[in-house]
Amino acid sequence: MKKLTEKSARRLTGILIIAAVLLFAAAAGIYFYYTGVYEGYEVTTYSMGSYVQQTLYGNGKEDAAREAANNIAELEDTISWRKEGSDIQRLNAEAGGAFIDVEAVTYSLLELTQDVAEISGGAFDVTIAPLSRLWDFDGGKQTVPEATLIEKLIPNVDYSRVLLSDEQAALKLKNTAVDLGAVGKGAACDVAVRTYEQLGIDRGIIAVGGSVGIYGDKPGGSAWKVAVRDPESSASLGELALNGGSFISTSGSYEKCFEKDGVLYHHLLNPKTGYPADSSLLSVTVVASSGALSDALSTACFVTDMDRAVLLLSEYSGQNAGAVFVTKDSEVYVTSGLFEAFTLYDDSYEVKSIG
Amino acid sequence: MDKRSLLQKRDIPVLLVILLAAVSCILLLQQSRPAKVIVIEQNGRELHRYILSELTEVQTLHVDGMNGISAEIEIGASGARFVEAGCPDRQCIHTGLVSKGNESAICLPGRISIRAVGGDSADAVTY
Repeated sequence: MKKLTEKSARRLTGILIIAAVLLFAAAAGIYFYYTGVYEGYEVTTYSMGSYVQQTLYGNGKEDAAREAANNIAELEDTISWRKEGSDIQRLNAEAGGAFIDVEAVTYSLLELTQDVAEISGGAFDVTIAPLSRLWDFDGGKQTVPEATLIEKLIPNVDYSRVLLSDEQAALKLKNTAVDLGAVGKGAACDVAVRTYEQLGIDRGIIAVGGSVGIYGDKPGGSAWKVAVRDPESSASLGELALNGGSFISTSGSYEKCFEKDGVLYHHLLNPKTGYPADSSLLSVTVVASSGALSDALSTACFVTDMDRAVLLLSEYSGQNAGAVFVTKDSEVYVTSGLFEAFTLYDDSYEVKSIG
Repeated sequence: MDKRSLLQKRDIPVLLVILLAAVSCILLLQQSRPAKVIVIEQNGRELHRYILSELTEVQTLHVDGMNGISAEIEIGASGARFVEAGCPDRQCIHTGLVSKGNESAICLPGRISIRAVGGDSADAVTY
């Protein structure tokens, strides 16, 4: 080895000191970038009968949060059957009558829900309203309706009675009613993410109840982590690593439910039987490129059961649809496209790839 | 001619600076991993904020919500939960303990929420 001369040694010392100082500055920079200067703006509001939680980053994040909350409230006023003068309330009131004008957002949601209804063979059906009102899980009613009442209402649940044409909608027969509750939270995520795009903030995440929308990418290209609730506890059973533009919804029998005489009655009704779907699943989480679609598909997948759900999801591969299924046998199945993105926290489950 | 050894007296300041930088890096990284915090809100307005590691004993809070609904919340080092609520569905109690980041328990009728933030956790929870 060459001997170090006095001069080069001094130079080396200088370089090392500079390097150390730079390293220190970089660490401090990273620290402040991620904490003080670049803190996410968190805000909680209530809409769509749910808790709405936004965490936003970048210039104008406060305005974006306010605007998104307003737009979600407006969406609710447009698509909730409970809201006086909403498109859906007017549509239901006109059942059996003429076509009515509806907002573009209502029209596109109805188009989407009709598509899922058709492809799922009616496992998903927005004309479930007469039955969902009878059970009234949202209202916290915890009684099993009379079987004869359920029988009587089942013929009115028929998605083919929803007619769509040229930004207008109609219900073919009287006694038909639409409830968009199964896509409301997902649609709210869509509205929020569209608002973030328009206002050009850096990135953010929104949760409307248990539906999640992701906007933009984290710095450094690391993925967003969305935890999947363990249906058998309040903890999370695993997480999905996802990028901006992903929307996530979960349907689970643990959500709105009650127990009577040893039977669990949950809010995911089978449109064909009028009773809570007798599924082998505890929950299903669907990821897709639209919130309303992920919300509709999660309901459809729960009701139709796993094997057919996998086929249903493959019909939406163009929208990057994938799912995490949790079965009553404590097995976790993840569709192949999502398998790499999923990490299990809880060893009491076993993960398998499906589809 | 003396051979230059690996370490000499005049190298010490350099080593000290490097050591200082390394220690600062570690400290900063540790600090930047935020503590687990529980936030209790009513209709989106923050009422309480607790750093879990600073809680030594379990305490019970009373929160008045909307629609005349109030709730009792129990909070300790392991997390927070609803223990009593005046709502009909009692979904919030059913949710159980909130401990990790972005988990939440919500009394919808009273608009009372318990939310965990910080910690090394997920960005959101789907349920």
